[in-house]
Amino acid sequence: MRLPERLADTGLWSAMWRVLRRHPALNLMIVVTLALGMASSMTAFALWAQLAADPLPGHDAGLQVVQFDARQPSELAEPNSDRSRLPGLLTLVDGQRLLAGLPLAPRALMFDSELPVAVDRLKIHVPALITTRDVFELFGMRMIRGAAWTAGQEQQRLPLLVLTAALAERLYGSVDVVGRSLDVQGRAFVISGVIDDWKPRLHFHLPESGLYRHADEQLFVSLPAAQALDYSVDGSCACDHGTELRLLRPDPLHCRWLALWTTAATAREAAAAQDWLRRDAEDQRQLGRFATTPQTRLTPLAQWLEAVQSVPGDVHIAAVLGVGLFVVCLANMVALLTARFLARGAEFGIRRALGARRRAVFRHCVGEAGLLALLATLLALPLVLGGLAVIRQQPASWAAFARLDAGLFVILALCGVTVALLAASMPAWRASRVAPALQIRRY
Amino acid sequence: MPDPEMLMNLRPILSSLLRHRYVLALLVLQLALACAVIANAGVLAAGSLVPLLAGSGARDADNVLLIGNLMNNRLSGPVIAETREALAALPGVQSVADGTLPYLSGFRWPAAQVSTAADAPAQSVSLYLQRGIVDVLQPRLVAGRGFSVEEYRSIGFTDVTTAPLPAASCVISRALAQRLFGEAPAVGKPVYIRFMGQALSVTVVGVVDQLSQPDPLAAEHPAESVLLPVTVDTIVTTFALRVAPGQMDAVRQAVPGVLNRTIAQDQPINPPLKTLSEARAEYFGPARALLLLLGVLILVVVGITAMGLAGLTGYWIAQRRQQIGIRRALGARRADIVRHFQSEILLVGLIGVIIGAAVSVPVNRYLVQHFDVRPLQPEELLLAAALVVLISQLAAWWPTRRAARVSPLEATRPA
Repeated sequence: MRLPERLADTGLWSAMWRVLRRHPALNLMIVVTLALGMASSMTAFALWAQLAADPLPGHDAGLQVVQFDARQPSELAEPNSDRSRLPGLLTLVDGQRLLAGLPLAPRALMFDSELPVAVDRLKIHVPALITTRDVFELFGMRMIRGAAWTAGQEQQRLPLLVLTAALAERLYGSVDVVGRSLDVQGRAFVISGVIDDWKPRLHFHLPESGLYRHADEQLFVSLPAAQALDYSVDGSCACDHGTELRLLRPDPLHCRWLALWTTAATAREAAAAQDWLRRDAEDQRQLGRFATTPQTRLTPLAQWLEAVQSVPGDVHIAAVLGVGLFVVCLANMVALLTARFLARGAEFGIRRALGARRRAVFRHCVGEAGLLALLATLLALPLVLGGLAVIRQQPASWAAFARLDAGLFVILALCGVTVALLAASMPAWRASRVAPALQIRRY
Repeated sequence: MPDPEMLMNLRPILSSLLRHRYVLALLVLQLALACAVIANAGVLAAGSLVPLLAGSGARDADNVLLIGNLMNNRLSGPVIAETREALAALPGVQSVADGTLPYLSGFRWPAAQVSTAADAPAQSVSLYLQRGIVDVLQPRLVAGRGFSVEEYRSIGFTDVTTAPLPAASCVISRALAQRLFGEAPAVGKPVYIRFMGQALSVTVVGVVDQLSQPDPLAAEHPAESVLLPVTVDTIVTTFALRVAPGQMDAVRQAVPGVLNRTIAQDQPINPPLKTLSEARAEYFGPARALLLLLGVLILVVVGITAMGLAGLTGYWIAQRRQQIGIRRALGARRADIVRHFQSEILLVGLIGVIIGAAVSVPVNRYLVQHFDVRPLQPEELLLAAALVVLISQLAAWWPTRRAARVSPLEATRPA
C-alpha cells in the first residue's frame, strides 16, 4: 500500500506536473480564463485604489472643510441648482469671519492663484496658494528653514510669504533665503520660511481648480497682505446674480472662491463647531444678509472626497464590471475544471481502488487547481501592467493615476488565488466522490 | 438547429437534464452570468455611443479651423474686432466667428433654460454665443434664415449677469424646434431663454437641419441647440475660421503671425489650432476610451463563456457515449443526435438567460441609482439574451458533431 500513498502525497507536485502536461489545451483554457478575470478586476481595482487612497498619507489629522451656503434665493431657484449639495467655497467676507471665530484649530482660509515673481532678471509665473498662517501645520507641511508668519504679522498685513525648497533653489540657488525679499507683481514680499516640497496625491483642498492636478503650489502668500495685489482666481468663482462676474479681485461679499479647512480631533469638538456655525448663520440672517438661514456643515475629508467624486463614475463602473467579469471567469473556470476532473473519473477510480483516500484525491485536485491559479496569476501580471498602460494613454484627467502598487498586486493576487481555490473545491469534491469499483470496471 | 417537433417533445430532454443536475446548474450559471454582464455592459456602451454618433452638424468639418483658447489673454472688444478682421483678410479664409466654440475644453458657460413661454417646461441647453457662427459652421438651413451682420452684438463678460443678453433673434436646430413646437413651423415664434439669472425672449428666425450643442457630453439632448447673435468679449475668446478647400495648411501657418500682430503681449502667443474634426475627436476621447473598454469586456465575456461552455458540454456529451451508441443502434440518424443535443443546449440556454435577465435588472438598477446610467430597455435585454443563446449553440457545435460520429458499436461495449 505504500506506492499509491506516495503518488498521492510525496510525489504530488511531479504527479500534477505530469497531468498538466497531458492536457495542454484544457489547461491553457483554464489558465487564460482565470488570468483574464484576474487581470480585468485587478486593473479596475488598482485604478480605484489609487484614486480612493488617502490624499495625505501619514498625516491623518481629522481634516474638515467648513461649508457655508451663501447662495441667494434666485440662484437656489435655478432649475439645475441642487439645494442639498452645499458649495465648498466661501465669500471673502464669510471666510474671514469664520476664520476669526471658529472654535477649532488649526484652521486656514485659502485659494489658488498664479503670481508673477521676479528675482534680479529672472521673471516667472508661479502657482500660488494665497492663505493664512495655520496652513503649514494644518496640512502637515515640513518647514525646513524659518517659520510661518505670526498671527500678529498677519494682522498687520505684513507682506510675508513662504516658498517651497524647489522654488527657492530655482530662484536663488539655495534654500537659505529666509529674510530675503521677493518681488511679487511689483511689490516687495519678505520670505519668512521655506518648506519641503509638498505633494499630496490629490488637489483635495481646492478641487475646483483641478482635483487630479498634483498640488503644485510653490508659493504661499499671506492672505491679508495679498489684498494689496491684483490677484486673479485660478479655479472656480461663482457670484450672486446681478453681481459683476470677474476673476480679477472678485467681489468680496457676493462672490465665492475661498475654502476654509480645519481639524476636529473629537466628535464633541466637531459638534460644538457645528453649533457655532449654525448660530453664526442665524446671526447673518438676522443682520439681513439672507432671507433664510444659510445651511452650514463641517465635512470630514473622506466625505468631502466622496462629494467631489474623487473616484469618477467611470472608474466605479469599471470596478463593478471588473468584478462581474471576474465572476464570469470563475464560473467558467469551475466548468472547465469539472470537465477536466470528471473526464478523469477512471483515473481517480483506479487510485481509489488502489487505496488512495478521498481526502488525497481531493487534495490532488485542489493542488492542480492551485497550480493553474498560480500560472494564471503570472500571466495576469503583464496583462494588468498592459491594461494600466493603456489607461494612462487615455485623455481622462485622472489617467495618470493608473499605476500598480506592488503590495496591492500581491494582495489582489492572493485574493484571486484564494477565491479560485474555493471555487475549485466544488469540482474537486465531486471528483473525490468517485466510487472505486464502478470506474475500474471499464478497464 | 433544432426543429419545432423536437422542441415539443421536451420530456426526454428534461429527464436527461435533471439526471445531471450539477452540470446543468453550472451551465445555467455560466449563461446567466454572461447574460447579466453583457446586458449591463451593453447598456453602458449604448449610452456612451449616442453622443459619439451625433455629428457636429457642420458642413465639411475638416475645413473649419478652431483657434483657442485665448481666455487668459483677456482680449478687449476692439482687439477682438481687429483680430477678426485681420483673420478674415488672410487668403483662403472665407469667414470668421468668435465666441463659444464647439468641443473646446476650458471655460464653459452654465446651461440655459429654453422654453416656449415663461411658465412652460424648459429644456437645458448650452448656448452658442458667437458672432458669425452660422457662416463658419454652415449647418444646412431647413427654414428661415441665418443671422445678418447687423444683428450681431457683443457685450463684456461682466455684463452677462447684470443684464439680459442683447439678442432679439435666434436660430435653433430641428430637434429643438420639434420638441418646442412639434410639427408646426418654428420660424417667427418666440422662445424664452433664462441664462445666468436673466431672462430674455427672442424670435426664431431660422431652423438648421442638425447642429450639436457646443458641449454635447454635458447635455441631456445634445442635438437640441440654440444659436444667439451675441459675443461675450474678454473671457471666452476663441475664433473659428471657414477655410477654402486645400488652403488649411497655409492658413494654419499664417494664423500665429496674425495673432501676435493684433494682440500685444509680453510673450509671443501660440494658441492651439485644431480643425473642427480634430477638436471633436479630442473632445470625445474619454467617451471613446470607455466604449473601447466595454467592447473589449463584452468580447472577453463572449470568448470565455464560449470556451467554458464548449469544455463542459464536450465532457457532458462524451460521458453519454454509450447512450448515444444505443440510440444509434436503435436507428437514430446522425442528424437526430445533433438535433437532440442542440435542443438540450437550447433549453439550458433559455433557462440561463431567464435567470440572467432576473440578475441583470437589479444590477442595472444599482448602476442607475449610483451613476449616470440609462435604465435597461426590454429590447436590449432580449438582444443580450439572444446573443448568449447563440453563443451556447455555437459552443455546442463541435461537441455535438463529435457525438454524432459515435458508432452504434459503442452500445455493445460494457459500461
